Amino acid sequence: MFGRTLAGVYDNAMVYKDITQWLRNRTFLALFFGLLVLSEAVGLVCVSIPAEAGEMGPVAFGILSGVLALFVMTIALMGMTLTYREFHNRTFELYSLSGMSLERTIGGKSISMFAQFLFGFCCIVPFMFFSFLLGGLDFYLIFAVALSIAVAVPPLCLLALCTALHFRFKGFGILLWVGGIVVTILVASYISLFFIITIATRTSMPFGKPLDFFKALLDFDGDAWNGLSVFLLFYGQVCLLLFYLCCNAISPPQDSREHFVKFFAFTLTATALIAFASARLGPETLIVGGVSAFVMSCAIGLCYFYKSIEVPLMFAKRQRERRFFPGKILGVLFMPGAWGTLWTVLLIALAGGAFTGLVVSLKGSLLSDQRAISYALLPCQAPYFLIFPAGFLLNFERYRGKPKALRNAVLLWWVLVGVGLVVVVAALSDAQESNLLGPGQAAASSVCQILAYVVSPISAMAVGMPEYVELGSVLPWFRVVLGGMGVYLAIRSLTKTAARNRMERAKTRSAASS
Amino acid sequence: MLKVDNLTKIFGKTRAVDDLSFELEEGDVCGFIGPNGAGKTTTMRIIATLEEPTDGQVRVGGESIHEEPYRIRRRIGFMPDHYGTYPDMTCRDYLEFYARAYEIEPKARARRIDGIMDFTGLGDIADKKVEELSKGMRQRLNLSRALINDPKLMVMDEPAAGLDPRARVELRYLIRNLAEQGKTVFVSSHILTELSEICDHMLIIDQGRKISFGSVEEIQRGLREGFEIRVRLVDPSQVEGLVRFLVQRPGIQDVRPGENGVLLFSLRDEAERIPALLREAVNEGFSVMEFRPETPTMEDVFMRITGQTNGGNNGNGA
Repeated sequence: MFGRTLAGVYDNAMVYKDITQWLRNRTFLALFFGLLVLSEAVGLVCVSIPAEAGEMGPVAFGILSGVLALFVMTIALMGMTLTYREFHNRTFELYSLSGMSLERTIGGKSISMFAQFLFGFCCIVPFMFFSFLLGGLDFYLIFAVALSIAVAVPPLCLLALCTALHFRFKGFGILLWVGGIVVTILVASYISLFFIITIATRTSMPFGKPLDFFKALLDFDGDAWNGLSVFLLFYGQVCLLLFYLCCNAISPPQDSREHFVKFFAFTLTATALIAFASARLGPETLIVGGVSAFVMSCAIGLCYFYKSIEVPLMFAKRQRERRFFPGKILGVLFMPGAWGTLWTVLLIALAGGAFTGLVVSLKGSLLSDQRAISYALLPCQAPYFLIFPAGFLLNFERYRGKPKALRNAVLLWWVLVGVGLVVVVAALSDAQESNLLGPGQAAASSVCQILAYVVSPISAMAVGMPEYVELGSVLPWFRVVLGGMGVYLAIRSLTKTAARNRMERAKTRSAASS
Repeated sequence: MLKVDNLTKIFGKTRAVDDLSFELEEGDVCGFIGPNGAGKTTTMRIIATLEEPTDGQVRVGGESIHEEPYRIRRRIGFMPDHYGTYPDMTCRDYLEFYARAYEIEPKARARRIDGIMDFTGLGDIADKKVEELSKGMRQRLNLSRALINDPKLMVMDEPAAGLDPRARVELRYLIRNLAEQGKTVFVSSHILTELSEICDHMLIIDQGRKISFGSVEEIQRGLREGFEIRVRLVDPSQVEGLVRFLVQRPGIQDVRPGENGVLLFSLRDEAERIPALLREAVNEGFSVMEFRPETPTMEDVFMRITGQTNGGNNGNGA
């Protein structure tokens, strides 16, 4: 096992190809000399400028950190454009023809991108430590920043690959997409990193002082190490989720890694809920936890429920050959195709509901009963919001047998109808408060409010159920049951059709062979 | 080596491949002909395990693409019509990359790469960058890549497209050499005369359906409902007389006088009738300089077969 892993890294064809291409590229020389000259120039300028002791150290450090961050972005962008070209002009087909596994392909690409980063890292970081000699800097801060950037690189590289493999860009759109995604991820990961650590360590570590955390780590502080382990747990899962999302993009109809994607999406939600539960409980935690489970269920449902119905050939073969418990069970629960998606969505929704229910029972006094129950039931209603817009849209010919169009339409439905109703309800509520509505219009306002609670998850979350409506306490339960039944019936009908097609094909095949 | 049974592929409402069946033995070179959009590339991609068939079965070396696609990939060399993206790589880097991808032992790699480069004639440009190669050289490199795993079956999609005449001749020579090494070659091309020279089998498809499959001679013979005879007279003024002479004879149709004493006609009869007819014409006093049956070229075969299917379809439609 270890030998195979080592060979996978050492003798990986993709690492060989990407590194060779990079070394033969003129950009490499420009980057190599550019980084060295720039770092040295920054050092020399800072040394030569007459200033108070300790003034120039932070300046040099700031510039060099910026250069390193810029270099990371360059590596991610270069890797992304190369992968994008390779994937979209079918070069990846030639790789898969060689029998190179999906993991080896994506692993090789990630390793080569990280190796390219290490090259720049080794060029710049010595000069960052040199700025320590100029004074005004904490040694730990330099260490912390260098380490933070290094830690951010693997998910960033995987994200770049994921973007290249999942999206199709035109012209300058690529720059906008990449810029937007990179900035969002960097900000989100930076905030979530310290948010998670804060929760896990149960300390009120002020945001913006990561230095204290690193110092505490080096002092072998128990809370800090606990926080680090929670962070690593999340970090590992996020990296694996991105990794398998990349693998899954290559040839999903033949050989997918959809089960890993679903599995890590589930564990990530479960881990997040546990982290929330172990933190100080309160209504905010409850809302954040419930909403994240709800969003994750809907995202998985949208991405996979409205996509593949059939189990890919190679997955089915591997699953038949699996003999032992964890692999076999995980393969069934998170199976590629509609049934696996149903189980995953239900598992996430149930985990979200159970967590919220637990919090409600512990801290129920913080919320009104009805509101607390509606929060607890929120994640469990994900199947309802997934299946009912689709049921309505399937009345139209253009969406039948076109899962991609259906998926986009459901998303559009959520956004357009949801946001539209939120605006209408807000406007009517304002008018009602100012006593500008007649009796008929007041009834219309109530109808809009109920519709908003029923038709789109966005409006349901924004508007909530009006407390004066008699059905208010029953409706969430009703939706949970209705959603579960709807999803079950839809999948049963879809898989029946797929099985019938499969049987017909098998019949002709056996007739042909005989 | 390759057995295709009732292969069908449907994209939306289009039947790209429709109930296609054929079989190739080891060492066969089979040309795959069809008009644009006939389903050639789809069939080849299915054989290469890159597409799943809607129906039917493909077996390579006895193994099914439905059961052992990864094992089959290791047995075939696929040369697609596209080439891929490899900026900043030399020919040797390119082959080294694929040798690693196929997990060829490090010790055997250099030997294998050198052997293939010698075979395909790339030895002198091993250190040239891929993007600087001519179209012909790129096709050779593409062929080298397809050969790196020493495949038993070569699937080549339009390998001669865009090549100059010299490069085409060289490619033909390489394909023949592959067959001599015992490899089965399944090759599609638009350059039909070229295929007839290197192939011992032909598969013609149109609109996804098999029109004809067999040896080149069989296909040409099957097409022939008689003979197309070309006659040249020393004295062009005798042509009219010869026309009158021929139309009175049984089994002769479609007499077409040409220029400079040339005349063409169709003889729907046995081959033994040809020398007898020549004798009769000479005895009648016609000064015959040339009298020979014409062999239809692959272009003729192709045009006639695909023309028939189109006509048939139109007829059905009407």
